[in-house]
Amino acid sequence: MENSGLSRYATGIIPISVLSVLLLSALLMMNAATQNSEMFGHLYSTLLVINVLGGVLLLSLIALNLFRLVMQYHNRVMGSRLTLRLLAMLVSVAVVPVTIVFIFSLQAINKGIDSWFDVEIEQAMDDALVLGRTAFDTFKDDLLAKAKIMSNELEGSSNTVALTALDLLREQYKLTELTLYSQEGRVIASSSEAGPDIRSLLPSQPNKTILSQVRQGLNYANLDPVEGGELQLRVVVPVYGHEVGSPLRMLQVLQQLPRRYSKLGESVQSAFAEYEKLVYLRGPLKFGFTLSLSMVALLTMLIAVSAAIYAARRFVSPIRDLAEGTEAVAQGHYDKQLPEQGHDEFAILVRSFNKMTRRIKQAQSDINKSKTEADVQRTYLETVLAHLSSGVLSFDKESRLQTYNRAAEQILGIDLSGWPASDISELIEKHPDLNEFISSLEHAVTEKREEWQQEIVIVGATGRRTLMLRGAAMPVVRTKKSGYVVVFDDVTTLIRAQRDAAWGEVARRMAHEIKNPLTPIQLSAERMQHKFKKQLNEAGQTMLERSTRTIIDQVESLKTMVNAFSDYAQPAKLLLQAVQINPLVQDIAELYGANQEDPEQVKDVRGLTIKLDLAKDLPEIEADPERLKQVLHNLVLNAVHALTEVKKPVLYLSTSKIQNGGADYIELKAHDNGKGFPNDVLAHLFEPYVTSKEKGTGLGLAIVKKIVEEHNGIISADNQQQGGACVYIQLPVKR
Amino acid sequence: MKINKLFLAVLFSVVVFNLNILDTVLADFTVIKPGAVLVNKSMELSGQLRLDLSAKVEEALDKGIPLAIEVEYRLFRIRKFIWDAQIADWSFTHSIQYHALSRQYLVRGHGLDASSVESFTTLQEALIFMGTLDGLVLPLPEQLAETIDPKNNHGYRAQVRARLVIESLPAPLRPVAYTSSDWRLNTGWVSWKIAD
Ligand SMILES: Nc1ncnc2c1ncn2[C@@H]1O[C@H](COP(=O)(O)OP(=O)(O)O)[C@@H](O)[C@H]1O
Ligand SMILES: [Mg+2]
Repeated sequence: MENSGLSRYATGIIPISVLSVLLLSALLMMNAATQNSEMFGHLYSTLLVINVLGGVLLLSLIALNLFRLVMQYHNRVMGSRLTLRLLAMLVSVAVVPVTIVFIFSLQAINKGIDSWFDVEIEQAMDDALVLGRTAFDTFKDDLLAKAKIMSNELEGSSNTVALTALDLLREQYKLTELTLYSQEGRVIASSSEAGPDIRSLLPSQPNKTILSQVRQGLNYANLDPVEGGELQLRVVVPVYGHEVGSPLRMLQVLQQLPRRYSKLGESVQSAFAEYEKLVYLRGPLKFGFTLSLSMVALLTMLIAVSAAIYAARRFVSPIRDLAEGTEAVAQGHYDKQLPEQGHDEFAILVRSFNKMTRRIKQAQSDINKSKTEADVQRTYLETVLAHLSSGVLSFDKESRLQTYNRAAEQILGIDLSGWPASDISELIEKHPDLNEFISSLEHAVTEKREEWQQEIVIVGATGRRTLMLRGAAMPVVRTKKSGYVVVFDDVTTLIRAQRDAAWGEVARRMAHEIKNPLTPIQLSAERMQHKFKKQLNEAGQTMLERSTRTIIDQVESLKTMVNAFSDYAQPAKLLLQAVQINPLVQDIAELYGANQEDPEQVKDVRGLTIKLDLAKDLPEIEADPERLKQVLHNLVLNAVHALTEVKKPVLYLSTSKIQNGGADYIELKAHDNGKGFPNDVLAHLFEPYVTSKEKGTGLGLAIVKKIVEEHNGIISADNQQQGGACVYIQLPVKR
Repeated sequence: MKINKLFLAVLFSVVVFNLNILDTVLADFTVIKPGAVLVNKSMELSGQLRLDLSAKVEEALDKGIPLAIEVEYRLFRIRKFIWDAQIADWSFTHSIQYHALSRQYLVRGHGLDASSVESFTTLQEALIFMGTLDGLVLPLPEQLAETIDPKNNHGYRAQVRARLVIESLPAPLRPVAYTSSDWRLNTGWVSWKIAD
């Protein structure tokens, strides 16, 4: 509807102005028609119809426009209210003055026209006319009397002598014209003042009605206006014949009135007629004026209303655009731009609006950009966090978990995905083993420390572990309250390695310091025995020999011990070669049970049975066979020591190929049927100087571990469920 | 949209319809027994125009307003398939006026004679005089007269119309005359076939 052709015709300024101009010109022509009949006279009706039609058309256009406006108002179209208000204002401004002017002019015209007329003048005119008539009636009566006398005189004269008689009579009575007619109305004879030559042109033939009236014996006498404003008296009387039955004749007497009378009479007549005409025309004149005035007023009003509609629309349209634009912006359409046109204040407003939306759009896109940047940074941070080996946790002000990484879950051994916003205390309830970890955090938070560092030990399903904790309060950004972040590492292995290194250093030094004086001690003891043996008696000799023996033995054992120390402490050069593990295991087993017939059941000197379970077709490993033998040696020795109390001591040695972390390993498992590792030893089993034996060095398993690790292997130990200690050694397969 | 068009159409038809009605139905003048023969290089008419004035018009006349009545004649040659061809036309304007001093109605112009003045004591007489067609002889144009066979007048059609000439009324009266049906005195075109 808004853009259709007819609608544009109905609302545009051009059709309305064209229509208005047409109507006004039609009105002008109509008015001209009442003044000058020749030009537009015959068009008057047409013009009137055109005006009425145009008025109706204009009216329907207005009605259509108003209807649409009202519809828009009901549909709450933006701007319709303002348009209607403006329209009402404009219309009242236009229509009220026009109406007032119209009413006043109408009254003025009516009064003005009425004031032309006067009762006295009217009376005077009537009187003048009566006076004129009376005067002429005297002339008329006089002439009638004369005519009757002449008629009597003519009664005797025949038609043949009539002309002479008429001439005589005319001369005698000084008449203008005398004519004798037969009963049928034919001219018998005529005598005229003007002479006989004009006789044939007689203009003043009495008409049929007069003739028939006279035929019935009545007289006719009346004033006759003739051409040139002259007046003449016409009298027609019957002329009877002397003999009975002779035909009736008629005498017409025409008497030109004296010029003065004639003029006066005609003047009275015309003045009277004119005044009468005016009085009569008073009504039509008022009607005409009222009609013109009404048409003018109506058209003016209609045009004014049309113009008001157009103006209101025109005026409101930029406001409506603005309102719509604002609405659109309010709903988030920041790319809204309004058409800019003109140079008035509206145009400035529209330009400002466009500038504003452009700015908003710019700001919006900036926000979006920084948002994506933040997102990128967050994902970057998350990626970094996820691949960090340290555990990271962050908490908000209310100690609710905000972020965490995989390492944190792995180190703490719990699933944090269900706890993103949970309170710390809830964590404690679920995981009592993290008690120390959490209480350390809480402690730091309640003390409001900016930064802290702490080493804590937690004991859980994966054993006793040492965590290195570093915490920091998050920086306060503006007034936003912030939480704190905790970074922690599992430093168990690190600490162990450090301790190992330290002990290694100690052992190396000790071995060096102790080993040096041992040989001189041994040699001195032997020389002492050799020198003083002959000087002593038998008892003394025995005593000396026993003591010397003890010194030498003890020094020997001290040497062994020191060698063990240095073995552990001094990293020996590995002589790596491709090795099959099974033959090595068999060698060791044979060494401890060479006297056994059953190769699978090797019996120790002290009654230990070694049972083998060796996987076939094992791949080779790259190793130093001597060092591997030492490993096995140490394991067997430990078993021997542990199984002294057991009736039927058995050591099981098994080999197999396993997969670990995508790589191939060969696993050597050694377990016995003893009491297993003591509980207090288990946690530090592979640390040096950890022993439960009176004369133990605590280096056996430490050396085992060292050798395994030198071969890039993995060692672990546990107690079997059915009792007995078990050591697992995994060595990488040679590639 | 449709409503608009419909509305305009209805408006238009109503106006056109009304115009037609005004022109025909309200005619107050009539023609009685019109007739004509073509003899002596002229058309001789017969019949009577009944020029009945409405009360309003008669009042105006009595108040001294002169009335002009135009009488028009047309002669057609009848054609078979297409419209008839107009071959001659005449037009006369007669006027009638009341003369207060003499209490007579003056009729100016009669038939071909435009200068004749006749006076009548009654309006009725004057109107009958004005409307008389009997004996009215209208000369045919020279070239035409020769082509017409006076013995055979078939194939011709005459037309007459008499009307009050509003344009000749005094200016103030015209708006009333134009808008009121009282003043719309018109026979309309009355036509008849010319017989022997
Ligand atoms: N097979 C075993 N059964 C029970 N306990 C064992 C076994 N092997 C080692 N242990 C324990 O582990 C400790 C450390 O052993 P080790 O490192 O070889 O030192 P040592 O034999 O000198 O004590 C031993 O003191 C013992 O308590
Ligand atoms: Mg040992």
